[in-house]
Amino acid sequence: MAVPRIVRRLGVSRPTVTACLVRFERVGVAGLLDRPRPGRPRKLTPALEGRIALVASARPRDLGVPRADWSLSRLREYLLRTGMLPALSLESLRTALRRGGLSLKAARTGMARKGTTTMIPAAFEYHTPTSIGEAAALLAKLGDDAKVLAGGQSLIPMMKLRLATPRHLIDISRISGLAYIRESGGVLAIGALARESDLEESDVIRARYPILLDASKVIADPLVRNLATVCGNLAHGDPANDHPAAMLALGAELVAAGSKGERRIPAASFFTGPFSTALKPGEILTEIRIPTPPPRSGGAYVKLERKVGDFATAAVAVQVTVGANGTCERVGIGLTNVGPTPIKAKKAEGFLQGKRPDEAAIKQAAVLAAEESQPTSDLRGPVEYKRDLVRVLTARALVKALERAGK
Amino acid sequence: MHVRVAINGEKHEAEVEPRLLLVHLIRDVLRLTGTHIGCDTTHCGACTVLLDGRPVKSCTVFAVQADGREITTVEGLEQDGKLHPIQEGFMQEHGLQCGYCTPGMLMTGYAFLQKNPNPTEEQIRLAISGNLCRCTGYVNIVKAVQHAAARLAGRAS
Repeated sequence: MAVPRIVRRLGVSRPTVTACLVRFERVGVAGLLDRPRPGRPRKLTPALEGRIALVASARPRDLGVPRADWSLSRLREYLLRTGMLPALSLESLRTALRRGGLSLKAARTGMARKGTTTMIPAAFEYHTPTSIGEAAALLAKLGDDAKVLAGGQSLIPMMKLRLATPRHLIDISRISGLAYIRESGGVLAIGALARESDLEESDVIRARYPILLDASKVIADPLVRNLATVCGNLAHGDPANDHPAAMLALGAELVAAGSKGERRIPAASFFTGPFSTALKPGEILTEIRIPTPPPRSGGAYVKLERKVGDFATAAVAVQVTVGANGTCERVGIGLTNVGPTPIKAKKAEGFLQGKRPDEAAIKQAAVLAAEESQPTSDLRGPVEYKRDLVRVLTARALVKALERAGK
Repeated sequence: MHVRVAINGEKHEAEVEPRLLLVHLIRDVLRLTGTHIGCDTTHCGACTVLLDGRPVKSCTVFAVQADGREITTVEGLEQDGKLHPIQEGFMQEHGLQCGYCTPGMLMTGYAFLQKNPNPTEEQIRLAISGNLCRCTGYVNIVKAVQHAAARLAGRAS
């Protein structure tokens, strides 16, 4: 291939290409590897740059920033506020955008969103560990350059749009014994490789976890659900995903495995920002643990979507336990896609706690949940509409959950 | 990387880049072009194939993920020169116009009927909700699946 074609294809300068070819001639393939560079190590890893690109190519309003366009400082402010980046100067942000092939002008005019995409993912190295220990060790070693691949139904589309460009994929799907959904000792445990379709077909889920059955039926479409995993739906950290709200309502615990062992994270502190979770670098989400609901419990997940496969315009998850005296013993309410993270509607939960869930109480709890939502206007509707939708869906989900608790 | 897959019962091997998508392995490397690429964004389902018996979108799976597994494509439906009832159904009920979505519809319908041989119309509609047809709407596609269900159950339709 001629040098000018390589220059065009790779988008690097002519001297760079020439230098690479010269090194290749002299020392072979080894000459193509990046040599250690002088000076301070780069602060922004490719993974962090990927996050910047992801945010910059989204519409600010979709992420809860009430502006039509990004400016450099607005983008920086957002990245720091959400904890997606620890610290960042405007100059490094500018450099990161440039390196990701994104000018702010392109992001502003929407050019980054259409027309400039390729559907072939960037090259990566593929790893197939056969145990969680091996996978965690790999992840610790490769750091931010690596992503965990399970079902791939969110990651691969992002890679095709070059919104994610991991240099290493650690495919955990060859690890045996992770595809379980089992109930024992008062806990429902869902393993890292349990697919959404497994949830739909599970007798345990059908019998006792209607909230999860509801949610699994409205996630993406049946073909995607044959590969997508439940754990992946959480670990991806997308506030538009459906299972996070259900896990908030159920009071789930998430098991994170790293090279130094395991720890458990309550769902309520797992979702830290858009596409950010409490998982530390090197940790893998291996299991969801849900306390088995006591008798007289019921749950529901109610979602409004424009069409099959769409993200929720809004959705509400409710899990409730009614005491022998007819009052609410335990209430969990989670909201989907009406904020930068899935939202636990604490005020609405607190209001219902210990109360008899009559029509007036349900109405009031729904109003409180709507107040707790933080929707933004986008193509799925304006703020006022979405907030009112949260009110309506909360009431419907409560009624449905209570009905199921009564059976 | 070296990939071994069984497609329609026949073993294939190929040396591929990890980023090669399964649909490109099937179409470009193995030259089985019955599987279509529609949207390339995990929406349309034209690229549906069966991976270990389950219908998936082959534009959203890397070929290396399919290593050691069994794949069925639309070419695998016909047996001994005889169309599968699902294919017959699409012919009889005019379940296609341009034919672009058809391979995906056939694979989804085929897998669905194996799991649910006696479906209601609503169940069929839900089952094909990940496959988009932009020609006709879905009336005749639903009829085609019903036709195949009847045929497979030994009933004339």
